[in-house]
Amino acid sequence: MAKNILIVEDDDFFRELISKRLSSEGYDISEAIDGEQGIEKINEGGIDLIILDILLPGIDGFEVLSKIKENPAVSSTPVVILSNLGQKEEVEKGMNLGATDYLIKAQVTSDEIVNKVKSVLK
Amino acid sequence: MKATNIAITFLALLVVLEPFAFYNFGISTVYLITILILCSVFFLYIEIKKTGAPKTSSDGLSKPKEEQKKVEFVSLAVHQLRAPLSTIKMSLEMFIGDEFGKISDEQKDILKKIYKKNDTMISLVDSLLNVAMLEDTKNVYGKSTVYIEDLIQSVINSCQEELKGKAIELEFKKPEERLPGMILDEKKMKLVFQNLFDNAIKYTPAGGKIKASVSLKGREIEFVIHDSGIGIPENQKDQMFTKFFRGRNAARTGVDGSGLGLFITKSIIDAHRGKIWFESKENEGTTFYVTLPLE
Repeated sequence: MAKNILIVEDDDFFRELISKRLSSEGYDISEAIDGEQGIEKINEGGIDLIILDILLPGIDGFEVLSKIKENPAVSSTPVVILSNLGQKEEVEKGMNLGATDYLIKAQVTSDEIVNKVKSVLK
Repeated sequence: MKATNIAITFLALLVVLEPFAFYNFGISTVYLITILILCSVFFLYIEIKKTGAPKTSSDGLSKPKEEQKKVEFVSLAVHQLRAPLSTIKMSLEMFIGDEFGKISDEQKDILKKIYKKNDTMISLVDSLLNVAMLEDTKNVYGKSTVYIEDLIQSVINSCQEELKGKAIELEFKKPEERLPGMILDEKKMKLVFQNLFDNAIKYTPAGGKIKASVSLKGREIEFVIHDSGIGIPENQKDQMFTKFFRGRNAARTGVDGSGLGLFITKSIIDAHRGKIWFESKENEGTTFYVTLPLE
């Protein structure tokens, strides 16, 4: 069965791009347009990996990440942060909260995202 | 910010929603996009100037709260600008990678040019953040003990791809005895070396040579970087550290630049009570010297 990836991203077009790229690699894609919807979908279960933006309307990505890690039912799901925020402190904060990796949007290619997803899901 | 958003939305629409336009894609479209990009940066800059520049008190001491507010504002504004640029970058990359169907070599060539311009824009936005943060702030923040050889080495490591791409030979000499740790703002000082290496690589033709060295001179650390690049014309030497200045010969090489790199570099060095100067001969090369006091 194909692995299911949840993309939590408020930029419609960016979400569409990542979603398109990953589904062409054979993954099933779920999408959430903000933090709150992200948490709902994670708690519904069946997610194998989460791609998480940080700056989101309402609850931000850091808070979403903390909430995931607080819930034993889903806390082991790997979370890859994909954000425009690239300051050292922000990366550290994300990693300390338990992210599997932290990718900076302007610095990665779609291939690198695919490779990251593949290696985490291996 | 409205103008910025409109300009960027228009740009995104132009690039993305009209794939058919690519069949008639002329160079003029690339220029139009560049102009739009530059306009949006300009509007952002005005915005930062208007809103984000608190007055420093008359005794020259900074007001931490105001500074903090300003930095927060600027980084938010930069994020707002960077977000659509990242999306454009990703979509162009996928376009070029035939993700949306096969495209012709001619179309690919133009898309690659837009991709490069967009990358220039991303680094320009980052430079603006740096300028805005430095402008009213001649103070140094975030001081920590830094080993300068390691800092320079990490910058060199990050330049490997560019060096290889242009087949430029880089030599870095450091003293046999380890240099003492220095109290510096590591992030800003890294930017200094990043800018100096970037410039050396950018303005040195393929197959050229760059020599860098760092050494202890009395109570100062001296860093020297020499390139076999295009050099600086005699009549433009006194403007090199001016904001937004670009050498005429530099602009003619077709290499993108914001005219902010050396301005930022000098501001950071000044804030650390250091010095920067250069010697250069057009078409032969340039040597930049930086000295920083140990204490």
